[in-house]
Amino acid sequence: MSYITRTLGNIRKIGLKEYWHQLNVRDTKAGVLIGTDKFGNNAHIEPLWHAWISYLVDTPPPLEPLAKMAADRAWAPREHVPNRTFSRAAYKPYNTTKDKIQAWQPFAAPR
Amino acid sequence: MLATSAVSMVARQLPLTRVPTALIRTMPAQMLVARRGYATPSGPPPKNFRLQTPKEWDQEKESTLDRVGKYFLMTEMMRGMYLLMEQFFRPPYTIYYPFEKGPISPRFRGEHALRRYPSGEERCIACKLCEAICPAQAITIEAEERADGSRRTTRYDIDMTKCIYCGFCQESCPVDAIVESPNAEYATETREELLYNKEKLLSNGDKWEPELAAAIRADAPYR
Repeated sequence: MSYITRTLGNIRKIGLKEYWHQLNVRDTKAGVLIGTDKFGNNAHIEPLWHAWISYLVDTPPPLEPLAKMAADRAWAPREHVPNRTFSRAAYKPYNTTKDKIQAWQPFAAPR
Repeated sequence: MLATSAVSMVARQLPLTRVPTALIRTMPAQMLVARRGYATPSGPPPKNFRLQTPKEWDQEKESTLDRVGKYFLMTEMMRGMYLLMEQFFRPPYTIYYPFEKGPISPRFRGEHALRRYPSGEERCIACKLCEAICPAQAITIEAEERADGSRRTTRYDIDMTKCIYCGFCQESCPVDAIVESPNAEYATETREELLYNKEKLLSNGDKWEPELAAAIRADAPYR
């Protein structure tokens, strides 16, 4: 709940059904839908959408020239990788080098 | 109250009035006494600088009837509740975090990433400047000659639990390989998941490259 005038004005703009939905956020908000990402605006969002929602860039990704440049990279990841913690796919550190010592293999001479 | 305190602040900022040195030489003690102020070196404090002592019960001019009326009509309660009601109708001071985010600077120093050249070749040449400058000694690098004869890292580990996010590594990097991306949302379940190795850092770079490019573009006019 905010100013009564703001609340009533926003209810007029978004309708009662959306108002009931927005009671989750405890404030009514009205705005222009700029676009949705592949995940329907989830909490974990794609990098350029993250930049846009954090006010780092002004242009939303559909209008952003960098988005096309990034998509044209040959080494661009095929699909969005969310933070996979709390799942079996979570990152686990591993060694990227060869072992520097070789373990001794016990060898018994034939008798 | 606010106005008077502002006046006193201004008075405090004023430069000391210079006393001619000849005067000080002739009568030093008198001049020093004359120049000494109460709270400030530039004279007595302005009017209403000190707070008045609160009135005691026997100094109040209010009649008993007034006080009884206040007590039984609970006017102070009503004033308090009105204050609460005002706050209730104000817009919230907070943002609804996972759906709304606060502003982030292009220079924000968050999760690390290793970048690549547009051809897909990794940038890092294992010069170990970042390892040397890291104040927390969170970076570990091992290098080896690759099959094509170029010098690359075989190990590039960053202990994100040690890192203090000072940004020295990205400042020191001669090829702009290690950067701190604007991503701060990489919370993990276990500490183990924060011990990043080279593959993880490179995949971070692949994922965040568009946003890194946006941050570099925003900062370019100032570099």
